[in-house]
Amino acid sequence: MALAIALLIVVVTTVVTVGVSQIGVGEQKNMANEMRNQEASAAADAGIARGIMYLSKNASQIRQSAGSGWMNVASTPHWTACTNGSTALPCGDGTANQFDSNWTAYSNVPNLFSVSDPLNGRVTVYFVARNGTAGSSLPGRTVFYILARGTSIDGSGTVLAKQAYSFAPFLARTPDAPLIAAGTIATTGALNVVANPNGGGSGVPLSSWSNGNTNLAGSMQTCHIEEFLSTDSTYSYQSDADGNTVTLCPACACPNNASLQLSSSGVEGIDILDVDSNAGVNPDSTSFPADVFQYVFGIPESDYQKVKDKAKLISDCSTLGPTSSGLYWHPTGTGNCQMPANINIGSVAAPVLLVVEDTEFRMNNNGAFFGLIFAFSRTATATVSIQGGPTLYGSLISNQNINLGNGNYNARYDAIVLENLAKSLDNGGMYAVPGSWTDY
Amino acid sequence: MRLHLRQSGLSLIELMVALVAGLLLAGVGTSLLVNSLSANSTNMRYTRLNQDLRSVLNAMTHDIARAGQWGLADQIVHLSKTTNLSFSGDTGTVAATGLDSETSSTKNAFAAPLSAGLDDLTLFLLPSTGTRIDATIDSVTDDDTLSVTINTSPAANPGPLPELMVYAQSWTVLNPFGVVFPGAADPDVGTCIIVSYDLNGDGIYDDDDETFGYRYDATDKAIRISTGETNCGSGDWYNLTDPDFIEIGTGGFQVTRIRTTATASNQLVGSLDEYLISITGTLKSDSSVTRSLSAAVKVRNNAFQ
Repeated sequence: MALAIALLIVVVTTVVTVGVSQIGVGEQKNMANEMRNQEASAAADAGIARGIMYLSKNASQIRQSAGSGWMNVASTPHWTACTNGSTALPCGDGTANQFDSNWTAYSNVPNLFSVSDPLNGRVTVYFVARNGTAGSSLPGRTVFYILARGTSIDGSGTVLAKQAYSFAPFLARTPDAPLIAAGTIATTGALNVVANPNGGGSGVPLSSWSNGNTNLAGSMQTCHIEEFLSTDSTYSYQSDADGNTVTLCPACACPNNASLQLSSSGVEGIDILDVDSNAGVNPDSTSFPADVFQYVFGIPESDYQKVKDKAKLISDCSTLGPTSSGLYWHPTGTGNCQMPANINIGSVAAPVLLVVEDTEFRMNNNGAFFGLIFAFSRTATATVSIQGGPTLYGSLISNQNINLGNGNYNARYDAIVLENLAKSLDNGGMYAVPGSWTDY
Repeated sequence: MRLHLRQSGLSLIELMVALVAGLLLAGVGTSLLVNSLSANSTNMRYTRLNQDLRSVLNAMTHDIARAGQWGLADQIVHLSKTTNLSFSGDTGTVAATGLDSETSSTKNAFAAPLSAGLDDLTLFLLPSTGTRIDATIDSVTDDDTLSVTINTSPAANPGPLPELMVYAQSWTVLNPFGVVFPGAADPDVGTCIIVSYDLNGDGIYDDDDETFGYRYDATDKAIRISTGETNCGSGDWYNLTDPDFIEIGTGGFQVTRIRTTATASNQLVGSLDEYLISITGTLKSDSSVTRSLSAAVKVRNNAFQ
């Protein structure tokens, strides 16, 4: 009897204790599961962070279709289009399609963690990029998703996180005119300006845009590209990766026939937008940007250092050449910015944006400059001196006055060159798209 | 031979000794059982206190980290980078046509899924004058065109537009998802936080299913939760912690915001937000048992305003 009671008590106590300890064990398991989830989340986050660095480091390869470029189908790995029904990573999440045929994927990103790194082997990173149109080449202005699958230390927990990134181009927009000045524009030499055919709206040409008077003197003339190219037949051609071709014609000029010109010395045509008490065809410009630096870079002038930080600083402008590309900054206190003699700077495919801070930009040769020159007067005056017969394919912008001296200078607005500059991934830096991070 | 065995039972003494011993044993056993049951039940209450508070903290950290997630965020960035907006007028309700920034032709810019997700959102415009102007998207007229109403004074960032073309990368659509964090006396400390994110990824802000709130209730001394409420002081809130079991005292639920603001005048205002959550709960049945938990969580999807 006593034995029975004792046994009963022992059994009941044991059952209750075991039951409660099961709850305790459940709690432990719960905590361990959360722990594993956190480990996997942290690993996935690390993967995304490494992925951005890898993309930034390889910015020049991303759109490149030659050599080890990521667009080259002969190199491994390379961008491969996603299909609408694909459920496999990275186009899908394993069960459903996430990225349809508007996207293209770069799998097999190399291991981004060293062997001694505790995260080595626990993170897989993928890139997915928005493809303009299904099947076409990767556009310059694309959006990237970085997908990272992280696992916990014991391998049982997995988190798939993704975050969209985009390259921030250093150019906020393609400028509207070949000559833009926040002050006045004065010409004395033999200047030929080829207008932006749509700078003043669709079909309305724009050659110069200033917040002061544009004084057309010397033997200055502006015209459309067709008339410009009709004056000489010695052409050469340059193409870019997208198949756009620019016709180069160093000896061309605007025709001397007033009916083929838009404006000329003393005659302000429809393509001159300035502020001079409504003289000329156009009334005064009322929409000139308050901050030209911001107009070009998308960043207020007071934050100019942010742009300078991204630029390649050059104290000697004569080191520039045909293979230069991207953003260059000639800082104050390093003398004038003297272009090298008789060679081209940049190219149609890879143009140059040169900021000349507080000093003089000198171009005294017969070469060509592909891209944009920004004469930036910050504390002192940045001036422009052009002599000889160079051609600018792009735009010349000043946040003060532009005084163009003697010389036989061609300023050709070229939308292809400026578009390539705006699309350039060099120096732009990456930024995370707010609202795009998910872990579910 | 017959063997006569004499049978005899327990003597009274023996019986009483056995009875006393048995009772003692039973008493000891019973008290052991009672003790063990009580210890187990205390143990269970501790565990449950722990679990309840942790599940609140866990749900909050996950929700806050995801706050502001928007299924159309990447599409809007891509569209803004490649599309100029051409307006039919500079003020009032006008049509905005999306033109490809390279070819200047229409390109079905606002085709699905954007067509369904843009209604009533704010269109941020930065014309070349550099002064921000806001407009409201009334509807997506067709795949190429939006019907928008440009803000008029005294609304924030009023028109008219200085030019009828707003170029690529000079406009965006503001994210409808985000965090509502009403501060109390000090704007950075509060007892309520409401977050929203695009749970089904369709880009449309469905406030009934995609808004999640947590707040302290002083009457019940509990943490309350809501789905679909955008106001901390009204609507349907339900106890997330059991007030019969756990008491959250005054100050026992606190959310602190640590904000790093990066602003640029007339542009979008961005910030990096991190929230510290601290929860302290006491067992209703045993006020000496208190558990405090805290966590810091960074909002991954800080949106610009």
